[in-house]
Amino acid sequence: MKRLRWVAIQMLPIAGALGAAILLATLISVLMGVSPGVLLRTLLSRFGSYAWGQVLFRATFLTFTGLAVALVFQAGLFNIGAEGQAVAGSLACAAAGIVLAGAPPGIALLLCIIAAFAGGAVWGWVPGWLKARFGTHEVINTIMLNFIALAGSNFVMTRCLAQPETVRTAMVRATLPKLETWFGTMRGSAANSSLLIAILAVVAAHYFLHHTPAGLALRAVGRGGPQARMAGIAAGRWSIAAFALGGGCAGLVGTNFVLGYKHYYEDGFTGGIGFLGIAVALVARNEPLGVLPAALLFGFLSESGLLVNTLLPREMVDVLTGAILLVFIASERLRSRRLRGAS
Amino acid sequence: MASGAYASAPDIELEAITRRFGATVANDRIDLHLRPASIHALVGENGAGKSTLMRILFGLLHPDSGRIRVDGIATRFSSPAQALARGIGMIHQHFMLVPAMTVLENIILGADGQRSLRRISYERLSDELSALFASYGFDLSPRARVESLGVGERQRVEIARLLFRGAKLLICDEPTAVLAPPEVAAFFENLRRFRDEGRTIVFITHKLAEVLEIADRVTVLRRGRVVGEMGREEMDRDRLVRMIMGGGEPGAGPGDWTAPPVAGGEAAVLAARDVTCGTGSEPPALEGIDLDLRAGEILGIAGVIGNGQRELGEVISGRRAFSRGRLRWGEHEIGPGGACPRTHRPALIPEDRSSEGLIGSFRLWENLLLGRGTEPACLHPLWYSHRGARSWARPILEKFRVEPLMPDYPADALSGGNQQKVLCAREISRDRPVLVACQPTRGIDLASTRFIHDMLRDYRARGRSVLLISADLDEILELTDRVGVLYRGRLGTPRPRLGLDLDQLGREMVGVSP
Amino acid sequence: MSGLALVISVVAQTLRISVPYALASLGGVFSERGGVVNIALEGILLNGAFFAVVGTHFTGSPYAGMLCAMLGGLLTAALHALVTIHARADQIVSGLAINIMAFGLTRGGLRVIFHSASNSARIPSPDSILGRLLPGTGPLGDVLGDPVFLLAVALLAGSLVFLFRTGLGLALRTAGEHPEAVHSAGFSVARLRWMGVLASGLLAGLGGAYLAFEQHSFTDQMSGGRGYIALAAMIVGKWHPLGAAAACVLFGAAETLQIRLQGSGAPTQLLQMLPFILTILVLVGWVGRSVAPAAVGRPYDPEESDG
Repeated sequence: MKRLRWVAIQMLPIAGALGAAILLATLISVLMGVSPGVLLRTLLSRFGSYAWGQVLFRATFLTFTGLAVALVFQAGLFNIGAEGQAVAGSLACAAAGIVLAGAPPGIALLLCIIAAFAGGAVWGWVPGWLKARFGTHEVINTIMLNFIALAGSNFVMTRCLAQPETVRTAMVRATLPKLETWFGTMRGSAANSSLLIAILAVVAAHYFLHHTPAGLALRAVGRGGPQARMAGIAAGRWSIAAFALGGGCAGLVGTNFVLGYKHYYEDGFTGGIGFLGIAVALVARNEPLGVLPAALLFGFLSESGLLVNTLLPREMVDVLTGAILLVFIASERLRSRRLRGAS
Repeated sequence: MASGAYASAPDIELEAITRRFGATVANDRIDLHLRPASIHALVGENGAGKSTLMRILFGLLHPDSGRIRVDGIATRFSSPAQALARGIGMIHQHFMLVPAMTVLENIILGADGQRSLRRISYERLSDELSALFASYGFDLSPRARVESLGVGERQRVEIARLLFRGAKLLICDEPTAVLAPPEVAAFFENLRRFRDEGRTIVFITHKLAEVLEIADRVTVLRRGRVVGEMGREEMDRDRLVRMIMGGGEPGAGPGDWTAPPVAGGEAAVLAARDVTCGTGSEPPALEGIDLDLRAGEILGIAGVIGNGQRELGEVISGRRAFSRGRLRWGEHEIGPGGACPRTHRPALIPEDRSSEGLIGSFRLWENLLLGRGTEPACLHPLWYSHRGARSWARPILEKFRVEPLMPDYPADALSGGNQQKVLCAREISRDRPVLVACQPTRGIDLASTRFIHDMLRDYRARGRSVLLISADLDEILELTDRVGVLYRGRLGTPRPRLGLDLDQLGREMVGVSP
Repeated sequence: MSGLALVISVVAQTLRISVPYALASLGGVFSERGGVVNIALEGILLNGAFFAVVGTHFTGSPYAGMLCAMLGGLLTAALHALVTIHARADQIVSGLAINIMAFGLTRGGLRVIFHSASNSARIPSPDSILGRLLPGTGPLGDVLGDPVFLLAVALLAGSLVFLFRTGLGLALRTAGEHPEAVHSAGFSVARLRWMGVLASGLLAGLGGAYLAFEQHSFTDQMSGGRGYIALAAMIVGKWHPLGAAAACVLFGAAETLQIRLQGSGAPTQLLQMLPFILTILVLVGWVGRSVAPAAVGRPYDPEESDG
């Protein structure tokens, strides 16, 4: 019985947040003159296997950026730079793909994946190092680096990588098969095998955090900085490591977009996945295993917004996301108070 | 404004006050009567509930049940604002002063006439305060920044703040904890004067000598309950000790002080020369520390907390940098800019177990593993299962008699004594040549204290060395082979414990040199 | 353009660009001095700009737009205050969530009200007061006489008086340094912090209005990171209104430089990066010199006690 009560209290914030979201959505649709019933029916009718494929596609992005934020949160820091890290990783992935055009496909694929991780890891290393070395505000630094990454990517594209007369790079030979080739459903959607990479990343992150001494040290730095220092753990080193690992996960976004979907790189596809990654990580309580369902949730939300685009502006999804986050963190404090009182 | 002298303080009665924090009952149906124009002492061990009770009186906390009567009328103080309005003021153990602001700003904060958008007339207030300081003999400047003041001066600022707001009842929480003896005397002078002006003083302390010196009445708390109350005439040291400790022999006796020290090896496993640890303008936390630690000995560093113990523990264990001197662990020697390599780093039991020792939300086995990932005796360096971790942790917890013996429990579910045992278990089982133990038995029960002492002796018997930094003189005298006194960052030359003159030691601890 | 005219033009442009930064930064000072981190400044700027445009569009009066902007900023800040002070939730996440909502709200509003994905209808901006009195003072007169600019200067002066010369301002500052002390002195920490956060909403909202009036319209995501840079300016300015304003002028100068260099052949994207790189470098350089209010970022719960 106590177990059940404990689970119920854990679920409270997310249930509350979802409830708030549904209420808000209803309110907005009423304000805009759309009947909530019509909204719901339209949504259900349009949600076919293609839509589910798109949900998985979005969720793959959000899993990578969610991990990026969650890993760094576990070390006690804020990674608002997942978008910039995703850009860096994707660009690196495409560049590697172009350079390795002549190589055997299996090797090229592997190296492209590694390049994606490495690109993001480097971009993530910067704010981590700045924080460890100088103690500067990682929130502001990561946000600045987002802008710099976007401008930088634009620069690199227009100067060297983009094909003439287009805004995209050359085609990359190394590819990941779409999910529809494995499963036969979700035809036409963008969902691809990088979902498997995402799942692998989640599992790896979980094992790293909870079953290795390195992960323990990282979590200790996040949960008890002074205690970790007294026990002989160098906080700075682990801050940097967390940022680099997180950045690398964000960089893997490139496998989804470049390797699995478009087979080239173009600017602008990363809009907003960095911030959404924060929402995902928080709802998952920074646990890698929770990132997957949370990513699916927000992917679902995002796709729903697109599907009812004819009735309500799709930007409503952003408003709902923000509201979910606010209600979630507000009720989180209540939850921890409740738990402490009960123990 | 400052008191109309001889306007009388209110008569305060606390009835059946009860307050819980989670599972702990901090105050259990406490009755207390504070008569005007008296000095009332509130005594008890750490955690007896004294501070909680006074914070309730001051409106910082709400009682779960009970009443407060002011001049006979039942009142509720739901905020310090209300308490202050009735003339109740509090000087906290940890001062409520803002270091970055001036004396004047700290004093006028929230005073009548200074709460709104009206412009502060700094000139007028400065003059007013200077007059107030002069009348009570406080050597303070209104424009000085609090961060530049010493501890005794800061306390005077706190007092001045209450006087400025016309407080009639002054609550002082462990006011002499950080004062030197001459400052204590001056402080008591002021207390007597306040009482003669008609104010009531409530004085929280665990130092019996002070109670005997100054109090008109004393109330003794133990584990959240009132266990006794006495007027000045009936006060007796032994009776008080028995009330505080709880029956039986006071403190169940210190250990065998005459046991000869274990003969240590000659080689010094750790040596410090002229180690200084300071930051710029303030006086250095440590100055010119010289010490040698031999194999198989326990070296005790005695002293009142706040004289550099924390910094000494952190520097010697390689967790903190120092600005001058040399430090050697084994064969590895470094100067000011250097760092201690992992292999030579001593184990450290930090001063504060809850904010520096264990991570409350981590489980016991996680806490035991903290910082030990690369040790060979530990689990596999790359990967471990939770079951494996638990079975690794269980024998360690068992050896240290930790209760409950559940490696999966979060650390904050354990009592203070058991938490300290877990912390000691972690550091002792690292089996380093040197262990630095800071206040290892502070605030824990007697049984756990004894057990930890036995573990430390056992550690020494295996040829390891311990640097024991403790404010508990009994502990020092019981465990150590040599003793040095740390006072204001300077270390007296360590001497053999056997045959030490205790009074001499006590005097050195408060800075009265031989 | 003659030398003097060029200088005047650059100075005027710098001042113009600095105003939104300065207002947002001043708002940040109020909020953080009280103890609440306000990452939502970016969203408040955006909302302020949007509300200004909507208000002006529907009433025809830029002054109504200004009021709408301040109201919008106030409401946004109230949401942040509710979540961080009342519910004691994490302040940084709350700020980020509000920014996400602001992006969605303004972009959606753009689409719904103005039927465009990128910009709104054109709106008039308030006439320069000085310009009306003394025609012919050129760009500098336009800037200095702009009502919002004048209001900003007045608010800056007012904030100096409030923070450092009144008892309430002293209490606000203490709420960010040592909330227990101000509670012990008889104030409500929550009420003081609400005050600081609402003030930041008012100020940043006004800053957003200025942004909108500059462009004579609302464009998607027009805040462009200014809210975050304003926070950096606040840090550089040591949480002092004048320091923050001065730092904002510095950032404004950098942005002016970047705009002026755009035609010169240096790659535009690299120039665009300038303000952001500058922010990072400045923050590194200021390490150790700038100490935040001691209790900023931590919710205050008087009932949480170690007894």
